Amino acid sequence: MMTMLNTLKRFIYACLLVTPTLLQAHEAHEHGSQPQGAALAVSLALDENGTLWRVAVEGGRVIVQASTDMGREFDQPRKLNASPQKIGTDGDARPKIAIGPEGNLYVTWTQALTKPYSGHIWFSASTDGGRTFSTPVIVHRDRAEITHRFDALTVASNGRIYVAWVDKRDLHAAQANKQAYAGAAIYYAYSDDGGLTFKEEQKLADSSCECCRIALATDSDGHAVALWRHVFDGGVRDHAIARFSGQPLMEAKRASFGNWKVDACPHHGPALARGGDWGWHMAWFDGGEKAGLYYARMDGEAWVSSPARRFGLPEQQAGHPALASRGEQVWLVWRALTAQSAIVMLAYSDDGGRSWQDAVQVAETGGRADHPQLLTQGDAVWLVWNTANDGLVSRRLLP
Amino acid sequence: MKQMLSLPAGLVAVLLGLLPAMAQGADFLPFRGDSRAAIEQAHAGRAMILTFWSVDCAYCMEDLALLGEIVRRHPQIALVTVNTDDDNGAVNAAKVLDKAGLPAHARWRFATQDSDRLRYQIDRKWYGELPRSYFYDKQHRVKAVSGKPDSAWLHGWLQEFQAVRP
Repeated sequence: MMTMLNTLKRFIYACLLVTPTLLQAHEAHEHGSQPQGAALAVSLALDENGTLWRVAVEGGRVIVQASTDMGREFDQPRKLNASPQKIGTDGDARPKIAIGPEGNLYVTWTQALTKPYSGHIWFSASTDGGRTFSTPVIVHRDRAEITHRFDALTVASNGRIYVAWVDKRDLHAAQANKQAYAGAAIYYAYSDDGGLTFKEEQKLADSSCECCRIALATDSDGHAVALWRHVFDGGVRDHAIARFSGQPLMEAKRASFGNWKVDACPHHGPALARGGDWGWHMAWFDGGEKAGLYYARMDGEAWVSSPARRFGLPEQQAGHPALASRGEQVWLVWRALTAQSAIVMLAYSDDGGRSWQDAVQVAETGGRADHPQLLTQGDAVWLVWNTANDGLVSRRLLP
Repeated sequence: MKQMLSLPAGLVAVLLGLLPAMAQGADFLPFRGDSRAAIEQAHAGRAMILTFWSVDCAYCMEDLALLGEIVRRHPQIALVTVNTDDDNGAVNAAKVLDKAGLPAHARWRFATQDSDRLRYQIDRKWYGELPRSYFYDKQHRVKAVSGKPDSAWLHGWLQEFQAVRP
């Protein structure tokens, strides 16, 4: 009897704890301004006319919209996939958009399949200035229901399209042979005909982290450089960098040395921007005891990085960086949280990232907020930031 | 029996009214900004492992299996799991958690779209890596662990508790 009573008491206690939250949840659903499930994860690109292009996911469709006023209003959505798919928009997953030198628009996304962690990378192009988009195709030849996820997309100045992603075919092959294999792999494919066809995918590196975005950029020769979180010996999740073109041009080199040893999914990939002829700007999140946001210069010949420099305040969750560079100017933005709001902080350097001005806050919002992105067009550098309460925030960054 | 009957009629009515709501919740309790404090309070004086996981995190499955084994061998340690997936992921969350074969325990799920804010309220030093677990001893001295707990540390932490034979 006593046991029954105790059980009942516990049940009552549990209910009392739960009741207010259930009611709140109901209210929030009724009156919240954001529809439930609306993903904030978008990607943006600026064309040479100053039109802002946005790709997002709505109701299982990848949608592309244009704005001629830097994001205050967008036109009617173009739906790229005819039938709804489950499309990754949480953590570091989001659809991507890039613009080629001839003005073509390219979009990639990851469709989640039925098996856990599995996915296919889709691609669609517009060659008529965004009026219509091609029937989407899967980029990779391997169609196994395994991980092909975290698509990254960039276009070189010669028009070559690079798509890179996280791929687990080598992990599964190793497992089938009862061999050890750490992490996943980085694969890529490229197209020299505006996305009509992609060359068969190639492996860039073994043992990447499984769930972080890949940072992808191109140099003036049309080569690509990828920066990603990697699994080094002993489960250390630092970053690796590699240059590639029609084929890999180097072995992956270690790019960060935080020695964060963790068997976990950080969901927190790096940022990369081309510096002058000397190399690359890198920004990344590092975890563990010294968790925070870091920046370093990477020499593009010797592949040796400068000492990591820390940005952001402790306990403000500084992270999800974006980088832009023009000549010796460098803009680094990141998202941080305060007690009331989400903010975007900006650090600026006019000497190629050797020294930095004090960071300043450049945007703030009261509700949910996406990762910040930087866009360059002509002389202008723009911060674009998708928020639940204030829509798409855009700020031209000075100088 | 008398004591049971002596519950205020109004409270009984409230509880009965709640039953359908709880059943509908697919047995996840809604985790909000104040839930960590509420869970700590509900387990005051008792050791506890509070762990955050996602269906999208391969390491989480291994970790849940390990934590399940720990609380099975040490029943005096309470287990509380919190799923961090958004509404899309949560469709599978209950199935995945059932498959993990954990002992019966309190199952929670993030009940907000703003998981970044929620994480900030839970622990400002947690940047979203998963799994993320908090090991509370009886005095609720707490150790935060990202990923798999270091086995030497875990061995030491478990010294305080008596193991049952498997």
